[in-house]
Amino acid sequence: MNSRSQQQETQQVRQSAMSQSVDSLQENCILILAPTGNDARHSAEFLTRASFQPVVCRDMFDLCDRVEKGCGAILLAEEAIGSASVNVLIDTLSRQPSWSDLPVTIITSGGEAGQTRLRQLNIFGPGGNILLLERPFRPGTLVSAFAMALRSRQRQYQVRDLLADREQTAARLEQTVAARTTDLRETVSELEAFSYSVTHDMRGPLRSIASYAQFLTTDYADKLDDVGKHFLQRVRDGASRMDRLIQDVLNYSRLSRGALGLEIVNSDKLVRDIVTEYPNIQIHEHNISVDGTLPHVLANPAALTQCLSNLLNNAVKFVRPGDNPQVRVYSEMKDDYVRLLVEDQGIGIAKHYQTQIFGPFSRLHDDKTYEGTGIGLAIVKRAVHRMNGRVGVESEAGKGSTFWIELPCPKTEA
Amino acid sequence: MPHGELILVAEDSAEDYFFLERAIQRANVPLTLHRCADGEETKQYLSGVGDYANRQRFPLPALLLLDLNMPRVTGFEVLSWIKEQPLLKRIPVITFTSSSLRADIDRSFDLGSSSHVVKPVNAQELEDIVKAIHKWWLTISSKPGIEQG
Repeated sequence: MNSRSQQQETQQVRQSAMSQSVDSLQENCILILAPTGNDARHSAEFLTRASFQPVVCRDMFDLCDRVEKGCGAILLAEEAIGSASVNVLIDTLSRQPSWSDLPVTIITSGGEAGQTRLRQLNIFGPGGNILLLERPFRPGTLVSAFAMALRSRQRQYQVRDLLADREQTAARLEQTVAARTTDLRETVSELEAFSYSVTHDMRGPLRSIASYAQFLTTDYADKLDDVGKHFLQRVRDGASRMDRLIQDVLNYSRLSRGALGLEIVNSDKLVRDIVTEYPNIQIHEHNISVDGTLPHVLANPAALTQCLSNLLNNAVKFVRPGDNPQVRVYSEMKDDYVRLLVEDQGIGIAKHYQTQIFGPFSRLHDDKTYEGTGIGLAIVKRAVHRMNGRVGVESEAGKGSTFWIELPCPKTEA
Repeated sequence: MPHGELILVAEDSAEDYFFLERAIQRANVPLTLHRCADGEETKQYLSGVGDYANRQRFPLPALLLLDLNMPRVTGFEVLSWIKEQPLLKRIPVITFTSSSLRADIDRSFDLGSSSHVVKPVNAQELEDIVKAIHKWWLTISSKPGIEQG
């Protein structure tokens, strides 16, 4: 650092030290209101000799004015407290900040008149930090009273500073959190855009692969032997499979965007529509039964459709070779939740796989046995969670499976 | 070479255009294609700028197949523009793109497209699409008047 900025720094430190000492003079001053006799003069002398900063006030308004500007403690003669002026003081004290508990010392004559006074002085109430000092008193008594008062006032200033510090720290933290959240949101947004573009852009080349393979099959059929045709079929199958994967990944990543809009959904109609309309499921229509009328649920219609169609697709897919799927859809009520269950008589799932099947890209079978991308259940799980629900399965290997999703009941409107 | 109705195809990918040509050939429908390789060329064709003023050689199309992902002037921009042209806005526009993103589909309809088709990976599906387009848009559906006078 060069000497110029060093000088500037020293000057800054000196200035702040100076304003601090002016502040502390004010913060620790003792306001005196004792208009009759020599109380004011003598008290001021005693306190000055003891290195305190007494300030003699003209009247209650002057004193209250200085209280508002800042002071360490107050010395009042009971003669100065008329009924009108005490109200002014009480009002001023009530406007002090919460950390402030100004020590007030009252010089009183004691005796019988004093007892009445005591009761009068109790109008300060439990809110007043009052010390009564009977005349005549020795200087030492006065001084020790204020030494204690100012000591406790110091503690109050510490509380004040701690509170200010805490507010500052909280404000800084808020700022940091806000900045980090913005950063995070930007990053997530970029990642989503990136993953979308990548997956989406893969479709172009995929189209080429599938199309040219098909052109070869069609246009060069006579030049290809069975093996050649078979190879080309494998090329087209690979492209098909990749396309399904791309669709599923896009679906899955779309679900990561925050909470879904929820509404009251007629799950009965939704399930029956899926059974009659979805090609893979429709062909098994006769083997899919829906028990009774399924209840309304609080859900996102598109997401719920995706979930149920995934579960139904799985139910008709994972059967023993040659078997016809037998699927039953029903519901159960559990407190504030509705459970929708899809039960099949298929190949079942061994216990130790029942958690991992809900993870993305998880498959228990190879492509020849049962085709699939391994994302269907991951999509169900994510979608259900976004709708504040739960998903699970009950199954045993070889004994069929029952997949269930639990969603909140719609709040009944009276 | 099939003659018949003209479909203007705004497509920046020569390959995707080739697949479309082939699909039309194999579908055996009476359709002619003309390709504009980017948004600017598409607008010029439709406006009759320069060579395109010769409507004998470059007639107005019965349908516009519009790829959304084109460089410089995008499909959305062409779509907005055409819907502001007094007579041209009557030409049915089918946005034709790799994107199945909900936002793109919705935006396409917002801007006034008549239909949105996601380019299939499978060439057979493309043939079916071409047949369907010909049957619906150019046979069953009434054609708007787009010539002046």
